[in-house]
Amino acid sequence: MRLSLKYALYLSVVNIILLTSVFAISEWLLWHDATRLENELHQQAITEYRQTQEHTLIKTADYLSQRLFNPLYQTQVGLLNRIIDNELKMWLPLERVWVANVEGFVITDGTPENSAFLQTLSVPLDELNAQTAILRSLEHGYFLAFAVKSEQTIAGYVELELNDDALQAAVERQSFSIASTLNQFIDSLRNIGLFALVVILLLTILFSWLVSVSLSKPLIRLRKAAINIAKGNFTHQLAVSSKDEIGDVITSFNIMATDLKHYTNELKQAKTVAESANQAKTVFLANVSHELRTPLNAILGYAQLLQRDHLSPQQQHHGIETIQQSGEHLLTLINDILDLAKMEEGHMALFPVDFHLPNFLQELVDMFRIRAHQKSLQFHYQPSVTLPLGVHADDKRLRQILINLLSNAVKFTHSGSIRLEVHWQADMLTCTISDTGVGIPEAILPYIFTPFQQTGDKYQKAEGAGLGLSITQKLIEMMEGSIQVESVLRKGSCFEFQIPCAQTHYVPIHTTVSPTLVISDICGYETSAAHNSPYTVLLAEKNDLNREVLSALLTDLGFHLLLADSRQQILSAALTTAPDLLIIDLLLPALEGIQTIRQLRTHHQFAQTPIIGVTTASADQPQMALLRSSGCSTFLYKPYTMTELLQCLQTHLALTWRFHANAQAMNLDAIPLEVMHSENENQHLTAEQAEQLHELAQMGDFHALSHYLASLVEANAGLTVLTQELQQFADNFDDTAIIQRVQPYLSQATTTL
Amino acid sequence: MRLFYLIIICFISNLLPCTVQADVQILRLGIINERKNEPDYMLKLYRDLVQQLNQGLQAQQLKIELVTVSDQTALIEQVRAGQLALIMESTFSGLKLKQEANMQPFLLGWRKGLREYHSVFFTKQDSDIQQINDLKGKTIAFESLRSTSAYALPTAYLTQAGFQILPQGTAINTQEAIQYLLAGDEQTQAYWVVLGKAQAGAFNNGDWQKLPETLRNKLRIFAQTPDILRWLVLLNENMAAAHKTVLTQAFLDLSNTTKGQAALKASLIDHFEALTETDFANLEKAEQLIQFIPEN
Repeated sequence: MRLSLKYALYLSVVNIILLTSVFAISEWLLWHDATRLENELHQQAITEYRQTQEHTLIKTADYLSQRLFNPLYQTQVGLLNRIIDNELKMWLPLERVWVANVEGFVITDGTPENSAFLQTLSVPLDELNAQTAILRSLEHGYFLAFAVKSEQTIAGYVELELNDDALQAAVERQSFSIASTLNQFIDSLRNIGLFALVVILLLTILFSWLVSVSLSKPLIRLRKAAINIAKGNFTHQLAVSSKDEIGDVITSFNIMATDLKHYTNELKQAKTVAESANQAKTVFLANVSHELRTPLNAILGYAQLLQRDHLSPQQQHHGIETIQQSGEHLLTLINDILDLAKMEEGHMALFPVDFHLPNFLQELVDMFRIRAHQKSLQFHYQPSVTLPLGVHADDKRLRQILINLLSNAVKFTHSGSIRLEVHWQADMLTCTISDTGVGIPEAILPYIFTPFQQTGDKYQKAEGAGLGLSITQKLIEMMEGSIQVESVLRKGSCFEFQIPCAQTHYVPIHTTVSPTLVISDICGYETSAAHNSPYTVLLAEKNDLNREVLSALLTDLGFHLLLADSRQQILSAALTTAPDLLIIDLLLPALEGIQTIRQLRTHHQFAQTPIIGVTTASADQPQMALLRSSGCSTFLYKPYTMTELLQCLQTHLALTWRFHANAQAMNLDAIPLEVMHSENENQHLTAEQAEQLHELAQMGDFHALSHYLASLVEANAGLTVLTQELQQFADNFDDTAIIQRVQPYLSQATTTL
Repeated sequence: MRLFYLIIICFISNLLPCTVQADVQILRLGIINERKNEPDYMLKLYRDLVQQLNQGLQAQQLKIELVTVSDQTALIEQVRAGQLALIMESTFSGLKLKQEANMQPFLLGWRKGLREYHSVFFTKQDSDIQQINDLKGKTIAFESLRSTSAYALPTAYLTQAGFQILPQGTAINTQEAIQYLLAGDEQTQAYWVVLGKAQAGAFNNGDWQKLPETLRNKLRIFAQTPDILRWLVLLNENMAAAHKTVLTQAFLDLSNTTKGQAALKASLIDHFEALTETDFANLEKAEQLIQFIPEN
């Protein structure tokens, strides 16, 4: 059965039942009210008729009194009988008539027999004489008695009994008329009701049909549309013909169809991308394999060579350097892969800090200016004059972004120049890195940010893993920024990104780059003043190879080393010897590492002992939470470098590394920061300029000083960073800082002089 | 010329039969209206009777027209004036017309079931009146002055017997005279006697039988008059014999048809019949009594 027909049938049956019930109830109420009304009208008719009848009878008594006076006064019985026969009986429904003489004796009862002759009236004469008439209601009529008199002369008396046949007949006629009228009215109402019922039923059926059609029609349309969608036709949209629930359903269906279309397309695209990514990953694995094999080959090859005795010291040193470079290359490759994995799994977090932006940029510029110079490329750095000194951002990740982009620029540019432009406006930092390199083919351009996608020719592909741009884009997006690229094949490329970067108050200049520790330059350490014996380090490493390397390194540097590879050994060794620092591999079986640390922390003597937890960088969120609650002082993420390990030791044991004599200069901690600035010649203030600024600062004329700084920038853009720093001091009315900052230039001038 | 006169004569001769045939003779029937307050009472009473008579008389070119008069005097005058051809009246009234207007009785009528009747004198059962002699000084109730049985006959009878009959209140010697009251109808006469308004009453024997039993039981008859015929049809003595014959036959034929019987009944008459010798003898006796009817 069709849906519309089913709805129509249901609605019709329900409506018919309802209407029939309503009609039956109405009919009963009508009958009930009509009966009650009929009885009331009947009683009213009786009452009204009786009142009328009584009034009429009183009048009749008066009339009869006049009419009968003379005959009765003259005792003309015959005439009285004729009057009774011809008049009274014609007018009144007489049951009995007694005409009595003045003595109260009946002289005629109006019948031929006159059987009441000489009988006494039923009503006392005194009572009759006192009243105009006596009227009483009998069970079936009236009793009327009156004296026949004219003025004061009484001719006789009359008693009448009137039956109520006429009354009954009249009332019956009236009741019949009322009942008939009521019945006609009820019949009319019933007929109207029946007609209305039939009409309403027909209308109900029609309405039910229309309702069911109106309900089912959209459903049928939805069904057809659903079939179309099931067949993959997403373009069909249903017209929304109403604003009711059906309209909402159709609207939702259309939205669903649109979303399905959208999601299907997205799925297709995702599938394509996934397939592409999978393909890229396959290619990448091949590349990575090659990438990994290349340095490994070098490492293994040179390792084998070093086992031979006839190598000269120069050849041995070269072989060691090659092994180290190949290892670092492998580490970079692995770090990139780990970063990408972190970002894709959502484990990458930003740690924004306040830092000195011009200095930050200058360090990068210095780094890549050297690299560019090594490839005979020009490097142009063009910062905006509006760059703030202090900004709030994740400097490490921003550095990673710029290094990636600048590294690519250097890598893919064989001649010409590389340009870095930096602008800042409205808390938005814009960096533009352009080169005159090989460019990117237009067909590849859309995929350059895809992970494991490499660009460039086969040779160039071999130099990287294809993760740099992908990591860069994801980092920018994490910072809620965006990146764009324009490239012309064999002409060059231009990458530009924008990230939110709020300005902060003045940030003192300090190096953001930790000095690089060169393990080969370290020969030992100096303990802190409170500790006069070598530090004891407990090392719990499951991997034998790692344990041996670490043991060799730490022992060589002068640490007293304890080894353990189980929970019991750790606890036993720790409680026995009380080491100054513990390095524990947290991935010991069955979480032994974490539980061991927790157990150690319960001992009072290990409450403050530094414990370095070694774990993997790919730990998931629950595991990260577990690690944080383990009680470790810090973590090293595998694969970590020896430098990172040494920095951790330096931090937690407060020791000072001792270097070989020829490597003392590399201890960057001892190098003053100012010397680290490798400012160009055009970034120097002349003695005159420094003197002028010194004088204005001493005078406290900051307004003139600001004008002077602006004129310096206009004359020499290379002074932008310095002048911005000085302007920052001027804005803070810090004349002392200005004087200190320009002091070296004054001294230089003096020395020169 | 002769031919012209012949044509004229023939034309006139053809018209003559038509004229004679259309000449219906009207015979007026006189009746005294018995109810003064109902002028058309007698017309209605005898309308059907006259119509049936005319049915019988139509073939003889006779037609009866009913004429009502107020009283006997007017009736006599109209008879004398030749305006009335026949009369229907009671015996005494008819005989008066015979005496004073030469009307001749030729049919008698049964009226109200009586061929002949007499007047009865009645009094209360407990009255001391036993005979007409006891009526002296008493009051007797009659119907009306023109009533035969309830006035003329009893007063003539009493007068013939030597009593003086006077209206109540006119007698000088109330102990010797009999005073009378006019009750208007026979029943009232009886009631008056019972109720004591009169000590005696008189009306015909038919009315006595019609009295309610309760009333009659309270009365008793103490004397009665001789019988006289109940109803007479009188003709003008100058009427043609052929007409008399035709009329006689028409009256007698009424009882032979259903419509005639209905008409008779509507007129309170049972039927008509011819007068016998005995009837004429009775009429002669009645004529003698008439002279004793008191003058009013």
